[in-house]
Amino acid sequence: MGSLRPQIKRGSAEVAILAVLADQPLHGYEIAKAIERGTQGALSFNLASLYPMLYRLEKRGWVKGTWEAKQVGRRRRYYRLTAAGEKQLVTLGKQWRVFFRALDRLVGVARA
Amino acid sequence: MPDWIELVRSRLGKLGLEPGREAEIVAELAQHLEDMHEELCCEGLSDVEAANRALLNVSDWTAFRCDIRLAMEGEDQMNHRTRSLWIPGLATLTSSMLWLWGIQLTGFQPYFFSGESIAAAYWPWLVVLPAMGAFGAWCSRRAGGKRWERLLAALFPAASFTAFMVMVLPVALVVDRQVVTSHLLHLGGYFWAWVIVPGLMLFLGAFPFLRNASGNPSVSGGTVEVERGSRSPGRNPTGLFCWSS
Repeated sequence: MGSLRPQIKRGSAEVAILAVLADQPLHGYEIAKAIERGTQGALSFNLASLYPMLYRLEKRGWVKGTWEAKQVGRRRRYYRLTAAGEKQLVTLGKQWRVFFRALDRLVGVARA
Repeated sequence: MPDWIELVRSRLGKLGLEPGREAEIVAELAQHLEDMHEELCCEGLSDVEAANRALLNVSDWTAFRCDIRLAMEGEDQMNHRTRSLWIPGLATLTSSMLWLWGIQLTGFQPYFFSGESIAAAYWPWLVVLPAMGAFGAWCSRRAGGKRWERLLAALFPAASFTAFMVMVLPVALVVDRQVVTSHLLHLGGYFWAWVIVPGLMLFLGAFPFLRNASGNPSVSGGTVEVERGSRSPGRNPTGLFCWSS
């Protein structure tokens, strides 16, 4: 159980980032905001947790960051899903659905 | 408007990466803080308040630097734990044991708690322990150790004596019950001499290193100060869960 918690924490963070990047490329701040908005503030990242995770995903080849200038005078690093990242998102999405369905069943049984 | 690049660079320190990549990371983090600062200003906070709030995003820059380095190097958690806990802990234990051995070689007569040989206290050893605790905690912090890792690395000698007694006692009870039961009465003395007093001395030395490396830095009129009593970073007061390092 001791090692399960960090795994869940890290795993859920990975899914959240990959999911928001599935629609469009975003820079770091937008990723954090998109997650917060998408979950109505229930989940959030801070600077210290977001970037190490982004770099880790990039290292694995699931996302790719490139410097782009979309506004005058501002170059930002935009992250987009790679083909491997898209596959990973599908796999992780399935795993999380199974996980939550199982938990949901347990809670349902406990309440019944 | 603060110089975010400089603020991030000074707090993050050297990442030990290729200079170009390192500069990119600093620029990216600075951009994130600048975005946050702008948004907070739009919400009605003053320039200084917004800058302080943005900086609270990182509570421990040493740990943050280490997290980034780990992510870039692709190092696994086991290696990190080895560097931040086991190596500093073993260094503290080894140095303290060597010092104790040296004292014993000189023929120094210890003080005996409860008059028993197992409860011997060597005061020249105890006096030096704060420095060793400080060394262990410092090594752990340097490797990006979390607070509990720094503490455990510093208390390693006291923890080892506890573990030693916990492991040896049951075996000794089987081998020679009579001798052990006669010593059992003096177990309190043993713990005083080898666990509690050394633990306190080690903690004393480690204490300054249990705080985060740069506190909660804040910006005030272009200069950097340490803000106290601010909202804790990494918390999401309205939300359910915040991923924090």
